[in-house]
Amino acid sequence: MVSERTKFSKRAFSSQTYILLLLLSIVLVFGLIAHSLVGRVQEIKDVTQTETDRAAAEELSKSIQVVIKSANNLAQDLAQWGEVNQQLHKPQYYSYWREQRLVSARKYPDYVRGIELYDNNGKVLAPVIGNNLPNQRGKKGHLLQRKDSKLYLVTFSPVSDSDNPGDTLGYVGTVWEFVPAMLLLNHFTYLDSSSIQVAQGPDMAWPLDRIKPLLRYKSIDVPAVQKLEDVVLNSVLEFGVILGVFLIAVYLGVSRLFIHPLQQMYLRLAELRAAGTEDSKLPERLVTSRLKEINELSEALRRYHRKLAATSRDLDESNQELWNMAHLDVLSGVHNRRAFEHDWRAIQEAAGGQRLPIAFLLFDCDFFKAINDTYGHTTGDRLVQVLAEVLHKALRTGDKLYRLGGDEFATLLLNADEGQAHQVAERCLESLSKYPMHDIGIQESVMISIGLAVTQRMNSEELKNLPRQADLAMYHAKRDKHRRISHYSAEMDRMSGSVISSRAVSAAIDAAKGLGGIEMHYQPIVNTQTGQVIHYESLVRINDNQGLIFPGDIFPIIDQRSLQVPFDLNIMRSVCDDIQAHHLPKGVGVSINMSAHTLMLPNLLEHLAPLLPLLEEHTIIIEVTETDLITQLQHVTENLAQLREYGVIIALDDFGSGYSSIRYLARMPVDIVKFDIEMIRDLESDASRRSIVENAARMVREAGYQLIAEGIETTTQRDLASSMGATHLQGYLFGKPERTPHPATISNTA
Amino acid sequence: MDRMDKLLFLSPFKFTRWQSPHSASFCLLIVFLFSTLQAFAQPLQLRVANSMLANADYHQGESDKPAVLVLHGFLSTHHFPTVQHIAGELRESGYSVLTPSLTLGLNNRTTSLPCDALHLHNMEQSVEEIDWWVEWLVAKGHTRIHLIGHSAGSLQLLIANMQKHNAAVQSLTLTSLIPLERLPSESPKGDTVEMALKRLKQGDSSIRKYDLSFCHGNFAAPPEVYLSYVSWTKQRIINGLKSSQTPINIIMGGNDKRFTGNNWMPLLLQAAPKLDILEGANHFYDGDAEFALLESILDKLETLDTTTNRGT
Repeated sequence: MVSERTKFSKRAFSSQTYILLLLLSIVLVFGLIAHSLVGRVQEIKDVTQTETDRAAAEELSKSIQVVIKSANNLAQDLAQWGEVNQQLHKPQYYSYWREQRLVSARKYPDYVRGIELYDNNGKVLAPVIGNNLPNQRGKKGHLLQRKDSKLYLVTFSPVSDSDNPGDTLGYVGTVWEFVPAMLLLNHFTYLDSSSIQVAQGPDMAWPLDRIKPLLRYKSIDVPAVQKLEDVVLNSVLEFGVILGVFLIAVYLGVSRLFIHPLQQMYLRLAELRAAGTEDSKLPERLVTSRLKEINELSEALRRYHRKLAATSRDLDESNQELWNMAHLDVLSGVHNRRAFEHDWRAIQEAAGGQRLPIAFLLFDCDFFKAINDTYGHTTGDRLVQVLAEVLHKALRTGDKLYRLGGDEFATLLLNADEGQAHQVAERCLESLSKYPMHDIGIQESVMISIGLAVTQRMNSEELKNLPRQADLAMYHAKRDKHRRISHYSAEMDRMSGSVISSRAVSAAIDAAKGLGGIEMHYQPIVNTQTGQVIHYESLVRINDNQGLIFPGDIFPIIDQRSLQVPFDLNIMRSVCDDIQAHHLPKGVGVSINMSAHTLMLPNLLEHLAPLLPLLEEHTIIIEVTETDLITQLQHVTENLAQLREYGVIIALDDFGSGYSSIRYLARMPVDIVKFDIEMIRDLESDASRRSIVENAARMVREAGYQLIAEGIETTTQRDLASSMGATHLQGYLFGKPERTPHPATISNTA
Repeated sequence: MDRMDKLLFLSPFKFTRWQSPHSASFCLLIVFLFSTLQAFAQPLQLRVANSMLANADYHQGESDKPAVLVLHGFLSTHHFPTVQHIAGELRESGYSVLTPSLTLGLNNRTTSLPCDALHLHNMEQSVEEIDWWVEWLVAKGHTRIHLIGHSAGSLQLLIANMQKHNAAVQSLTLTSLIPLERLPSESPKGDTVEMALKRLKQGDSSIRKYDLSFCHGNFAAPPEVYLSYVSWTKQRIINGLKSSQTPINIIMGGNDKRFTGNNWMPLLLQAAPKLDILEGANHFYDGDAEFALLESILDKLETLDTTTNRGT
């Protein structure tokens, strides 16, 4: 399970997001710096203001002292002024002097609101008019007076008598309007001179040391700091604007140079994915950018994709080729077993109980090995190709033909019922029959057996059984010499042992293991001329005390379990036991059917050792089927030759049911040829077939073989068989297989 | 020279410092100051007539040279440039020089008195002060005293000598002698003489503003003070010149505008045919006229002095 952390770390963001985040970060940092800067400026402002306030307070104090000092100086100057002295000495013209001369003399500034001279008793030389000086000097000396919201400084300075310097001639009194005096006498740097006001309060006199509380003032807004604040704010604003414009330009530039081309590339790559391997859909250029690296990357990606597409196409072609190689049969060009299994699996997976009939046809070439051995593998391969071509053409359009192996083909007919499937099978047979085999060097007709199984519903269970059923059907088709097309039926399952009861299975297995149950029945074979029973053919039954089990139920089990050898040997023992038990009449031969598996045994004579002593009194005939003999001729020939040396007679059974090649017959180490029942029936069919059988019989006879005609059930057949040259006759006409062999019952064997 | 260097330099125990270039300059300065101190007058502050405290400068000259009293003009002080120039030249020439400032009724007057100041000091009081100064010179041992006046000072010296001649006074040199009546170039503005006379008769001592000399309608004074000055008319002055027993030299500026239009010059010439008219000189003998004035004064003094010595 991928952890959340891993999930998070793997999460990707677009370049645009990163750029925006970066720009946002820059803006944020700028904001923080600006905020800090503004804060610092405010700090500076506060500190400066504090210092300014302090300096202003200091200035105020100093300015107050300046005023007081100036007042004192003026008073002293006036006191030393000769005219003051003159007036104090001769005060009779004081009023004129005060009002005219004092004014015109401009001995005092405008903020001095009045000057009076007082005698040494402190009495004003003339009544005070229009100023705040008293008519009588008090004892307190300098003082402050608040009156009408104005503050006045009243000073009194003694005037020394020039005649007697130690004596006070009188006093000079001055009254100053304090605030104007302060403003004019001082230059304020930190104090806002326009803010200096007299504090509100009642009109009264105050001592000089109480002056400060009587004044209200404010310190200046330090222009430098204000300017600094303005500069900083403006700078921040300007820089912010510049930064904003710059960031926008950067964003646009980066977008244009990087993000947009990357996005274009991304979209183009999506188009490339959609284009797949088609060159025609590849754009001429992925992106167009002013960045050389982007353009080169784009071109490299395009070239890479082109190569990738080409490689993909090559891979697809190779895959297709490999797929073809894996799913097509090299020799025939049709689908092979792998393709069949693939398609079959797909059909099964797609099955859902739909009512869709599916027919499974299995084709098998009859005696393909014999043909291969006769004409060579090249012709055999060519035959496979012909079969594939013929069958494929005979199928419906869209139907697939599969070569399952060797000479075995199959097809699946979807939505085909049994009738339609049969028609297809008929078509295949007809097409094959029309094909000129001599074009590929084969002189005789090539036949195929077709097994057909149909299911009406795409049920998975039924579908699963279809191949097996078709195989069973084909098996029956091969055995049935009359029908090339075999439709599956439940009986086939039973006959194949698939539905055979466990009783039959057990019995067959026990019999094969030698545990008993084998019961030989004997059918007479008579001399055509004499009608005498020459020998009996032993036919196996199993008697498990519940009844007889016939070869139809026995041999499928034996074949399925590859018990042919032990079963044959036990049959041989049973026959030997019957002979030894005098179950057979003396001097009468007995034929024992043996499979090619048994006849192939390297130590066959050892296994057949029980038979050899019986040769003294009985003719032992080993019957081997034409098919078995042909398919295993090379391996069986030596053993048969040894048996013949011992006097065992070899009979070729069911001649005509398989690959009836006369040339093959010449090579077979047999003494007797037994014509298949079909060949006997052909005597009764059209002239051409009869002619063929008769000619075959003649050749067999001329070759020196004894000829036994099987399946004689009617006198007509007897006569025909006799006329064609059969030396011996076998069939129900002369007797059925029974446990106790009995003499021939035909009354007219002559 | 920094402060430390100065201290070390001035220290008598740091002999090495005397050898520095700075010490030589200082010595020269001392010598120069010492020498020039000889030409500088000493300030005086004396209680003069009427117990008024007056200021003056006095320079003790050569013992064989007479003393000279130089008096300033109307409402001025002894610091007036013309007075200082004359006094300085005389000092240089070895004369003992006294340059007093009339109190004009103000104790310790050191500055010129404006026209609109309250003038409570009349002519007679000023003359009294002049007499006191002459007595003071005599008391200082000067037996030969020359009086030199400028402008109103010349008039006051004339009046003083007329009213009380001191035997020590050898001569009067009156420069820019003019009456104190209203300047002819100015129109009447203040109260008239007649008004003053009327007030005086009425006992009205109130301060009025009158025209007096260059005080144009703003000479503030009671009527009696005003009249004490203005009563010295041109004729009265001429009469005084004519009747003076003391040799009088009169030096006038040829370009003195103060008496243009009041017929004063012709009258003066009539009374003093030997008056010295310095061409191009104004009332105050500014510029090159200063040298001419000084030369004239010295010349006259020397002539007077020689004559006096021969006479003794």
